[in-house]
Parts: sequence; structure tokens; C-alpha cells
Amino acid sequence: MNCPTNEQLSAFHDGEIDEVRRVEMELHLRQCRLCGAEMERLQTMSRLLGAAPAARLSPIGVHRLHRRVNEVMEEGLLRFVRVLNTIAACLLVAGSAWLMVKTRADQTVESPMPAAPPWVDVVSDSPSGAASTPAAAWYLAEDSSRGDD
Amino acid sequence: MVQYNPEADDIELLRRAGAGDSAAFHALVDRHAQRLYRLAVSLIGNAADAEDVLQETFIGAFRGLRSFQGRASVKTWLTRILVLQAGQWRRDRRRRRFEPMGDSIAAAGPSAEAGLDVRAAIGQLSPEHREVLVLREFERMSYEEIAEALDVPRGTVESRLHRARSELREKLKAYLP
Repeated sequence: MNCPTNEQLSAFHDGEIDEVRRVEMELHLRQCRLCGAEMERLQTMSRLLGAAPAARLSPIGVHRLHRRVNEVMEEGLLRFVRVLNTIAACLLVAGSAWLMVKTRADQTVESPMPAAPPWVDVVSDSPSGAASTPAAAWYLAEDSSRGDD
Repeated sequence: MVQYNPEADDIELLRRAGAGDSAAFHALVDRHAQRLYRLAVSLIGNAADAEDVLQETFIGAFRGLRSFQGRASVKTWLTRILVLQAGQWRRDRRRRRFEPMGDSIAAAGPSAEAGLDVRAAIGQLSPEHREVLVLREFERMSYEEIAEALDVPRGTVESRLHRARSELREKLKAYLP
């Protein structure tokens, strides 16, 4: 077997090659001093990196992290409530506007004069023939009732 | 607050969090905070900014709960968000201060302690090389997981890792055989 590339040695060191290739390289490393020395350097470097001090988040840091996450969760909830409020306000405004328009329409449809009682027709059909409009008939009816007194 | 079984599946916690269970999300935070913080310090180089990036990572995860499609593990998904947040942090810092990247760890300076020298040497790597090296050497992630976390092909992971190691070997030759 020819000497593997440094990239292949690196993958071998990381256990990232298939079984057949691994057996071949193990055999090669036992025979080749150059590749053996390269492998030793890779292993020493990994040990050095492994010995480097590991950072640790303090309990206060953990507390700050949970508090910040809580803030974001509450922001999400507040945003939801705000959206609900906006929808409710829009519905209220739209409902009020609809009610106002409907009331006005109802008032327009209603007759400006009160409906004359049925007996007004009797008056308007009187021989005098003076009551030509419902208003006049109403007036005459009122007048005749006053005359009865 | 509801206490979750430590054996509870990450996916299950994420599903419950997505359904509005805040305790499930806090359980996820507890489970991954230390690992992600270590990674953030390795990528960024100082504790205060690493904590900010960590917070932004979990906020991003919370806001993107519905975007999780389950193709990668929750660990890889969170790692990807952290790497993106660290990239954003670097861009923001460059815009604000016009400083070159990667010198905050190096600012620790030479030290008799090999561990600190290692940290300083990692800080001098380019962000792309640093990411791949840290994910492999500190997080022990497989090439496939790294490829998913960085959204690059596996071949790119292999070549970046090789170049990162070559560069690091030059910087740490005093400690190597």
C-alpha cells in the first residue's frame, strides 16, 4: 500500500474510514515510520486539545439564561394578547359603524307623518269633499271631534 | 415547574416545547447549556460574549421551534444555531470596531501553560478552521454531524479539518514530537 495522504491519516485518526481501509492502514502504519510519526503527532495534538481548560457556565449564568428565555416567552404571549386586543377593537369599531348605518337606514324608511287612523277615510269621503290629503283628513277629523265637544 | 426525566428524548422535549410547554424548553436549556457554552467560548474566545451568543442561540431555537424538521439530532440543530449566531457576532463586531477576527483568544498571549497556548493557537485559526476543529476535538462530533451543523459537504469537513490541524501543528510544534 502507498502512503496515505495526511487527509486520510486524519480521517483514520478520527475513526472516519471504512473497516477494510482501516485494516489496511493499521498494517501500513506498523511498517512506515513516516506515517507512524505523523499519526503520533495527530494523537499528541488531540491529547493537548483535550487537556485545554474547559469553560463552564456559572450557576448565575445559567439563571440569566433561563430568565432571558422566560422574557422571550412572555414577549410572545404579550404579542398574542396584543393581536387579540387589536382584533377585538376592530370588531368593536366595525360593529358600531354597522349599527349606526342600520339605525339611519331604518329612520329613512319610516314615514315622516304618523299613520292616520282608519276612520280618517270616512271623514275624507264626507260629502264636503274638503279632505283631499291624509293630513287634511286628519286635521278635519280632529276638528270635528273638537266640534263635538 | 415540571421536572423531566433525564432520559426523556430531546425530540420529545422539543415537541412539547413546540406545543407551548415552557418547562420542556427549560429542560432542553438545562440539558445543552454547558456543552453549547463551552463551544461558544471556543469559537468566540471570551466568556461575556460567549454568554450573549448562548442566550441568542436558545432564543433563536425557541423562535424556530417549528422549523425543526427532525432530519438532524437536536444536538446538531442547536450546534448549527450556535455556529450561525457566532458568525453573526463576528460580523457585528467587525462592523462596530473594524477589528480583524480571531484575535480575542489570541489576546491571551503566550503562556507557559500548554492548555492556554492551545486556546490561543485555536483563536488564531480562521473561523472556518476553528469551527471544524472545535466541533471535532472538543465536541467529538462525527464528520456527518459536523457537515450538518455547518451545512457543508462532508468532503469540505475533511479538507478543512486537515488544514486546521496542519496550521495548528505549526503553532504548537514546541509541544509535538
